[in-house]
Amino acid sequence: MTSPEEQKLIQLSLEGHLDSFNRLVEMHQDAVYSVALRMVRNHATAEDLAQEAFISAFRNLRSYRGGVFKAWLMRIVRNATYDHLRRTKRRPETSMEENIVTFSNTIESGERSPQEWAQSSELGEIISHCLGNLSEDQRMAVVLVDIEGYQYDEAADYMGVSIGTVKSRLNRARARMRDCLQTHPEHLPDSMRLHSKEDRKE
Amino acid sequence: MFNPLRLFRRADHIDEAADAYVEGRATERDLVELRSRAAAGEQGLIEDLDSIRSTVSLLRSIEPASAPRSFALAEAPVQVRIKRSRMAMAPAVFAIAAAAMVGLLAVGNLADVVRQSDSGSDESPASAQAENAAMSSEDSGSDFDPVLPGGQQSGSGPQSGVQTGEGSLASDPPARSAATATVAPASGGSTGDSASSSSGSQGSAMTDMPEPSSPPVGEAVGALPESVDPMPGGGTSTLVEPSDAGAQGGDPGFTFGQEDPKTTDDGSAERDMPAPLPLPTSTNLFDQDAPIASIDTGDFVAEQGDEEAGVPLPIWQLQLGFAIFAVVMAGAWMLLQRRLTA
Repeated sequence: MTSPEEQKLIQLSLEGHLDSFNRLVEMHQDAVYSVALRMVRNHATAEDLAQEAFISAFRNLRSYRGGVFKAWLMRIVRNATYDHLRRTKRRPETSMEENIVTFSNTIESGERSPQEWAQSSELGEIISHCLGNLSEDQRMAVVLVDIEGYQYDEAADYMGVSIGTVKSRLNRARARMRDCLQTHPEHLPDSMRLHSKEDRKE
Repeated sequence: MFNPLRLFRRADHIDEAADAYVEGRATERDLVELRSRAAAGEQGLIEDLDSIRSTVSLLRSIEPASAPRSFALAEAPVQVRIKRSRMAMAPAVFAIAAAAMVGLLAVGNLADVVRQSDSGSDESPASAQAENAAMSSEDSGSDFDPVLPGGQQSGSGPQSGVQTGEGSLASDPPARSAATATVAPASGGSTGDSASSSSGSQGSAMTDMPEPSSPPVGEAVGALPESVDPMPGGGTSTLVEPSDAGAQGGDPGFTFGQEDPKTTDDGSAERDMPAPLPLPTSTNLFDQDAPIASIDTGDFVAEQGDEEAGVPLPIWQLQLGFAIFAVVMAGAWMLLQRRLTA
C-alpha cells in the first residue's frame, strides 16, 4: 500500500510541485533501475529507460488512480523495457560482451580470491546469457521474484497479470534457466553445483 | 527422463507442492506428497526439483543493483507530451477515415443499385434493335438495299468515296449505304461474315442480299456484282466504277478501289469485282449516323449493354476491408492510449 507520505507527495506533484515528485523519484529509483538493468542487461540502456520511465510517470501522473504507487511505476518500467527489447530484437544495437558485464559485479561478494572473482565473473556472464534466452514475460517473472525478491502478489501487480500466470511463467523460466546453466557445469560453484542430466539419469 | 515442465502444463495449473519445494518452503505434507508421487511413477521428480531449487538459489544470490545517479527531473517535461499525443491520435484518425469509407461505399452502392433498377429496361437489346431498324429504314428509303457502293440513292450528295486503302469506311452517305449493303440487313443473311472485308466475303455478302427491286444498274451510280443480278434478263454484271458513272453523267458514287472502268470487247464497260470493303472501325460502328450501326445492332447493343454493366465492383469486399482496417486502427489507438497512461 502507498504510505501516507507517498500520498502527500503524489498530491503535491499533481499540483505541479516538481520537488515533491523528485522525492518520489529518489524513493523508487533503485528499484526501477535494477529491474531495467536485469531486463536489458546493459548499464547505459538501463539508465535511459529508468529516466524515460520517470519522465513518463510525471507526464501521466493524472492517470494514477490510486493503489500502490510503486506498482504503477513498475508497470511503466515494464512497458519501457518491453518496448526496448522488441526494438532491439528487430535491430540489434549492443554487443553481447557489454551486456554480460551487468551481472558479474553483483554476485554475492565476500572475501574472495582472484580465482573466485574470475569464477564469479564467468558465472555472471552465463547467468546474463541464460536470462537473454527467456521471453520478455518469463524474464520479468524471474527478475521480479527470484532476483529482486518480490512476492507473487507484488509481481502480479507489477506485471498486470494474475498470480497463477506469474507462477506459471516463473516455473517455465526456472526450468529453462536450469537447462541453460547446465550446459556450462564447469563454471558452476561447488556450493551451487546443479545436478547434471547425466547425474539425474543415473 | 522426467520433465518438470509437465507439472505446469496449463497456464493456471500450479503444482503447489513442487513449487513450495523449489522455493524452500515445503511443508511435511508437501514432502510426503512428492515422495509418494516419485514412488508411484514420476521417476526423477525429486532430482529435477532439486536442480530447479539450486537454480533459484543461484538467482537469489545476485545482489540488487543501485542507481548509478539520481534520476530526479531538472525541469517539468511538457513539450514531448504534445508530440506523443499527436502520434497517439493517428490510429484514431485512420479508424475514423476507414469507417467513413465504409459508409460512403454503402451509400454509393445503394445509389448504384437504385439507378440500375430504374434504367435497366431502357437499354435492352430489343429496344435498341428496333431503334436501329428505324434508322436503317430512313437511310435506305426503298426496299432495295443496294449492295454496291453505287447503291446509294441519287441525289445523296457529293460522294467522297470509300477509302479502301485506308481501310475505313467514310461516314458519308455512299460509304454508309455501301456498308449497309455489305453487311446484310436484319432480314439478310450472315451478318458477321458480311462484315469482313475480304473479297470473298464481299461476294458472299452480295449473295445474301435480297434481290433488288430498284432501278436497273444503269441508272444506279454503281452496279451490282456478278452474284446479284438486278436485270431481269440475267447476264452478268459488275460493279460500276464511279468514273464510269461520272462519264454517264450521273454521280460518281463512291469508288471501289481505284481502278478505272475498262471497256470490254463489246464496248460495254467491264466492271471489275469491287474491292473488298474494309472492315468498319469500331468508331463507325457506334456512330449514330452510320448505317453500320443499323446493321444487326442487336448484337452490338447487347455488347454495349454488357460493357456498360461491366464487371461489378467488389463493393462488399471493399467495405469489409475498410471495416477490418477501422477495427484494427481503433484497437491500436486504445492500446496506445493504455500504454501512454501506463
